[in-house]
Amino acid sequence: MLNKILLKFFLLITLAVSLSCDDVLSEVPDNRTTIDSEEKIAELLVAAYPQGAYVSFTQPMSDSAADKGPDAIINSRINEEMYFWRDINDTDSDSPTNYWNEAYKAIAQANQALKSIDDLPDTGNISALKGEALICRAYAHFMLVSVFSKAYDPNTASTDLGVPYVTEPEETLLPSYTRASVQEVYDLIEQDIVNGLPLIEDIYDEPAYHFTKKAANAFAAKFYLNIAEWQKVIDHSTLALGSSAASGLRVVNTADYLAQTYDELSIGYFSSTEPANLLLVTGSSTYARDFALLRYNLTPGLTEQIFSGNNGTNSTWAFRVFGTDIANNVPKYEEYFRVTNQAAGTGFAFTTFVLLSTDEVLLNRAEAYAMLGMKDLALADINLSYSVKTDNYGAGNVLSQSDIETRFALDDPNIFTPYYTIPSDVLPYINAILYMKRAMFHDEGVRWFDVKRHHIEVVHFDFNGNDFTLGKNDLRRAIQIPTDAQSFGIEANPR
Amino acid sequence: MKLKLTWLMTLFMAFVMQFSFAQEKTITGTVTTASDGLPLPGVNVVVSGTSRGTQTDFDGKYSISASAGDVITFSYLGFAKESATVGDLSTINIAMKEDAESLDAVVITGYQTINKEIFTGASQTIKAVDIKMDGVPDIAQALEGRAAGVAVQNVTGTFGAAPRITIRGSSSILGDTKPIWIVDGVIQEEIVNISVADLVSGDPNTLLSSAIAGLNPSDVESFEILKDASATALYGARALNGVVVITTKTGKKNQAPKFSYNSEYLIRDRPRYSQFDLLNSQETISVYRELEQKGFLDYPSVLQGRNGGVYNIRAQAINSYNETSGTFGIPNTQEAKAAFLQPYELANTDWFKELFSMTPTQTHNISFTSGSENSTSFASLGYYTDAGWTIADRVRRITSTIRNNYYLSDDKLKLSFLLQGSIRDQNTPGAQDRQQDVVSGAFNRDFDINPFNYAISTSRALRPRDENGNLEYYRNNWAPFNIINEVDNNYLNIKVFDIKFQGQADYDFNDNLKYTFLGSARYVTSNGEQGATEGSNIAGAYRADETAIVRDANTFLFTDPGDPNALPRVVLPFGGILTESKNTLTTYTFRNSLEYSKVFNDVHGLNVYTTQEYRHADRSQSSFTGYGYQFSRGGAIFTDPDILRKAILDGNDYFFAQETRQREVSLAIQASYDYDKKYVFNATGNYEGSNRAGQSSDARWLPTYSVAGRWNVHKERFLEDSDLISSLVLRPSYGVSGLIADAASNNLAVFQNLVTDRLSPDDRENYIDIVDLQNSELTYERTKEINLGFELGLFNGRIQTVVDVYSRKGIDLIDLIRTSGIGGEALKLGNNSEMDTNGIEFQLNTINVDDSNGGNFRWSSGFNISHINQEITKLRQQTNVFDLVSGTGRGNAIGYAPGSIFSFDFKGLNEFGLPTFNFGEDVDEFGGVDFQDTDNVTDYLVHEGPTLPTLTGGFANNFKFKNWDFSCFISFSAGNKVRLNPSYSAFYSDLSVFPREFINRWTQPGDENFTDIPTIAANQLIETDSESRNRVIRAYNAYNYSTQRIADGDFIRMKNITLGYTFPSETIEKIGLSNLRLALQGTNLFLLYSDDDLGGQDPEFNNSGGVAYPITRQFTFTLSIGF
Repeated sequence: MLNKILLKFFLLITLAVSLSCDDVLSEVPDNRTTIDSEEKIAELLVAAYPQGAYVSFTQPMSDSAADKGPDAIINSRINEEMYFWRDINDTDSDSPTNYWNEAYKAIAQANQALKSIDDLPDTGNISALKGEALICRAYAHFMLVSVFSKAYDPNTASTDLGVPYVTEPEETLLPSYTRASVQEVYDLIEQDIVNGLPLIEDIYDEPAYHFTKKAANAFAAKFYLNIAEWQKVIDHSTLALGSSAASGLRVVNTADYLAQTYDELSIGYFSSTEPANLLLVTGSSTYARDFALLRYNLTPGLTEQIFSGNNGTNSTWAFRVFGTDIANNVPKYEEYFRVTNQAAGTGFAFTTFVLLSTDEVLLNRAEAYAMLGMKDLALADINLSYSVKTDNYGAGNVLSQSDIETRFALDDPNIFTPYYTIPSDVLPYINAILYMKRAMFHDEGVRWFDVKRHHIEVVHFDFNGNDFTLGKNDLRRAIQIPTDAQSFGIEANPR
Repeated sequence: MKLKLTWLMTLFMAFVMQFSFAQEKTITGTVTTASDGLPLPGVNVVVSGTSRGTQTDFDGKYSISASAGDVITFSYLGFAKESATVGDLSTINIAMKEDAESLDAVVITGYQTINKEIFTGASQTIKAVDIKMDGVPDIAQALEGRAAGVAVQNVTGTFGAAPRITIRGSSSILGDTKPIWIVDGVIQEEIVNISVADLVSGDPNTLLSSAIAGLNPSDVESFEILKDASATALYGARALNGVVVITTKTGKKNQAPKFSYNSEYLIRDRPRYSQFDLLNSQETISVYRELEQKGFLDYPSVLQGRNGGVYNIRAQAINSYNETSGTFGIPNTQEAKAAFLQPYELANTDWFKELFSMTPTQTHNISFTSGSENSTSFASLGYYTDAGWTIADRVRRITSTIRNNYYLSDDKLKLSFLLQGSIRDQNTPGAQDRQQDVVSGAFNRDFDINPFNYAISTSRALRPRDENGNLEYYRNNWAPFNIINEVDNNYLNIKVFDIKFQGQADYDFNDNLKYTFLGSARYVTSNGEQGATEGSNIAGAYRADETAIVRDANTFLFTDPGDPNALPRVVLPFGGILTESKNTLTTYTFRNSLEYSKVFNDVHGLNVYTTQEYRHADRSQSSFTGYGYQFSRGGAIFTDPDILRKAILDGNDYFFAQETRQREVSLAIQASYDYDKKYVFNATGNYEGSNRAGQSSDARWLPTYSVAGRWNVHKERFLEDSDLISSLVLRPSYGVSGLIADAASNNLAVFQNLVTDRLSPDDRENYIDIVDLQNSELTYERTKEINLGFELGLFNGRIQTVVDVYSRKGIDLIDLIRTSGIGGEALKLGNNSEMDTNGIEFQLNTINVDDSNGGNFRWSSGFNISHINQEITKLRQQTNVFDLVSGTGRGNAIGYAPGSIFSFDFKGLNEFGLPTFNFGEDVDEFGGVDFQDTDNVTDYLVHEGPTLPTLTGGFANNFKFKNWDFSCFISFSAGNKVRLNPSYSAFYSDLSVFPREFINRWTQPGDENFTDIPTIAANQLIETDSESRNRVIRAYNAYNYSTQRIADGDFIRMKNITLGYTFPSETIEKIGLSNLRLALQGTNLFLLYSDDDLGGQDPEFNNSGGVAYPITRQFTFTLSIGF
């Protein structure tokens, strides 16, 4: 009797345990998060912005860097190699490879958000989050194609090597990817912008670190600037600037501003409360520590060229250049150092970068106006921009159309040679705008993309006076893709 | 699959119920010993081929039912097995002969107890009594050199910290390589899961790394080490790293109540400076003078620098102005300054004497056993107290075990209850986690006050007390420091409470079929309290702001990021820091198993065992740091709110909590067939499921299997009557075992919530990071293994050898792969790598002189040796240089053993006395070192060897003469390399100590032709820009990890010598005792051989500071009483 009871008991247990196995084994093993709500999708998107520096390698490639010589305080390999436009395979922070990884990491976050969105009902802010995800994905790909491919040119874009455009979360260990053409990448970016932008809502706790409506439009305008869709540049810029563009700009010529200390200026530059900052990102980078002291950066000669003297308005720039000869700099960065090892003083360094600002949008719009022949509107934007950046700015400093045409006339019409033709009467406007941007966004990595877009020749000198030239169509303008990616079969840029 | 298995089981049971029973009668008899004819109680009496059995009572009598033709076997530990066939008679009396061989007659696998004759796996049984090191509270340490194929490295001697144990090499490259511990049939989980590499870290959580620290060594009966895939087959997907089965003591049936008491007093020897070749204080001060000449130790920097020794004390004196006398402490003249240093020059402080004590530890155990016809009991209570080898340590532990067995329903039902508990209270010096500084290539630990590390790394010119007997302070982290004061004010106390309940029911349905239920629950909690009181150097560092220079340099001060013009300020104005940490572990195991065994037609033996198991383990870890706790003011809390801002901004979590949950289900079936115990065939299948990957059901289950055979050649007719060969066995096996790798669990993408690293706390946000992308191909790590065993017994078992040869191939091992980055994860973990392992193990046990024929002298020996050869054959991980050279076990590269050590190729000193290296073409031979380099680094690094020994073994000799017993045990190990302590540095201070060879350092140009000891780098070289400064620092660290700083790990150690005397029973019976023994034991006595290059460094011990201590020479006195 006992036998039978026990036997039944045993059978019962066997059955029960076997059936409940799968439930038991679904228990989450650790503190991992499950994406199951709108809020968590929003948290995924916080990291859908490339958290890395590109200024660290684009600045030395541009014509806003020169050699300070062996007395310079920081000798950085990335800084040096990029100054001579060499291919490097460094993987540490501030390298092109790091930016590549960070941009694709941002894309993965966005793609995961999009995938998770599909599993949730379309209620609440879901569509706004979808908008943010799409714009984030477009932005990261736009930056990748801008860095690692040739400048956009519709005549060759369908054969130029772009970057892999990723739209799904990776699911296997080592899937293979191939580079899409530049044209395909631009088409996909535009598609994501077109789909995402209308969905964007200003729902963020920290709007300065997200694609608000203004920031998304600012990005769209920048994108269309690259493919010469001037009207779209104007439309999106106008949305990004809002009804009164003047109130949203960074004012650097007031007495209060000029009285600020170096540290106040540094922190204020990337402040999330500064209305001019449309999009900020904090990335793992030592650029805040390095930028003033790097060997290949702002030399006294370049300081003279970029910041000194008449800025075109018969006054001077209000930007304050700090530091001695080998440390000339405009304060824009402050490091956040998260200590991991107090004894050794090691940890992670972070720098916050301004990715999009109203100042840049305003000048992008001016460029579009000029290209469409609307010189008066272009002039108005240029004057507005000057008005907040120029010392002792007054009525006497306001430029007229003829001022532009005389003061910014170019002797050599072939300095700017984008794939489209710039009418000769527009050329002084373009010259003025690029001149202004070079000073305003010094050490922000913006200049390189203008150099690339307009095919500006760059000549670098080393300390011994040897010169090195980056021609207008030099293949090295497309930074080499990471060696690790090459080893997985991603085609290298031709050299 | 699981449903199918359930069906199979049901079918199987329906099948076995069909057998009916033969006609039976009752057999009775008496069992006696052959040597003196005394009755033998507790002998196992079993009807062969059934599970029907009983035990003899006090008078050696038994009674069992059996049918004519059945064979009854009689077995008792230490006696040769006897058997008798049931005939017409109903009385069978047996006289049993003592026999050493039969000690190993069974294999306890944790699931089953199997007759060794039909066990097909490679395993080794070790009796606790043979290896126990008296007075040592953790028995795992005693395994060193005892079992072939088991490498035990006692990397630390601190109580609670586990030795580094690997069975047949490390089976995983990035995953876990520790074997699993089975205590009384149930996996004994560690409270915290620490990788083998981190066992040497000296971090506080290593104190919790030993799974069996709560187990009283006196309660352990035996070990069974399961090595090959066949032996571990029932453990399936957890068995990759081997299994150590521990069986604890139990009572025997029909046994008179017996108490035993033993006490052990252990004295540890103090380390001595004569062991370590360090400069004495006079020589040290002369080096300081050179430092002074080279621009170091200038007055402002020693007065206000971060750290400072005698020069700091002198600067303080110069700086102190006496208002009343109007004079300075000492005049600032060369003569006065030189005179001031004189007492320090002569101090020659023996820090070991100051910090170590020889107070004996005490172990007291009392145990009770008894047994009646229907029940047995075992109870023990153990107390271990250690006042501390150093002044900063103290341990107390209480352990208790109660185990009762009840035999009901005519022995058909056996119920066992086990209650095991321990409480541990341990003080260690306050220690923080060690950090790796990959940039400059060094390990660091904040505020390390480990007394051993202190003694060998602090200048002997410093004094603990001044001339007046007051504590003398020097400078550490900008604050006054004295080690004697510090160990009182900076401590870690942990309290561990560990309790286990276990119940087991065995029910014999009939002679052939047995059902077992096992349930076990264990709860462990560890509470750590780390106090840095207001008097500690830590609190002092937080308060050091005496001058603007100190204020700007002191990283323990707080600068408000919201106020760009803020100055650093003190944010711990009152009290100290109290950190509470807690670890808990809750585990359950439930098991149902069914065993069928029958012998058909007297020759066809069949044993089928099925089991089903559920394991559940929850771990939690939490900690809380309280700032401003006023230890001397009754714990009143006075916290400056900004210290929390500092903690948050520094990225220090001032509290954290996390949980891990482990759920495992396993289903297994094992079938074993033997033909007349001559030919054995065994097949096992295991189906293991785990929640490791959470909600993903991909790769949740892993099937593993093994097949094995055994040929007992000695049972063949041609050997049956051999006088020479008493046993000859061949054992081939093949199988697959697996491991649920903790390292990777991303069958679904793994998300983790984090907080953004933005400068302003106002800008921060929660975010979800994709820690790991989904890897739908992720699976278990597996090893395929072929094992060939050969056993030979000669002269009636007096010489026994066992040889096992094996070849293993690890596949789908977890690897760290640098990807194209396009998926969004530049480094991914996945099943990619492979590893080959080949090895051979040899054991020889001999009885050299036997006393069974009336002699009084007995001499037996045991020798084992094993060799292993491992090679990683496939790997994509690009290990960085630091991991390859630092020798902590993370150096993995294709073509080499896992955990290899590499060195920088030292090229010689340059004309400035600075070290240079070959880093390959076009790389600066001085500053070109890059510790983070991963690109083809093995091209320029020199391969030295593995960190794990390739050859291990031991040689034991036991002598017995009348009432005296004597044993000595030598363990040896070879084939591995050891990194010498990192003694060289780009800059030294007036705290530094120097190895003896420092005398021969480069001092003037031309010396580079005679010496390889780098110069003291001039201050000018270091004080230039940060880049060149870092170059110098890295170059000197590279020297520490160069071909100059490596030694062979080979050693032969006189591990243990024991001398014991057992009082004759006639004498002690008069005073009412049944047993009285005295013993003296010396452990870790000396090294018979080790590499001279080690310079006194123990080849096993990794001096990492924190809570790690070496194992030292120790002497134990043991008193055992039975009554």
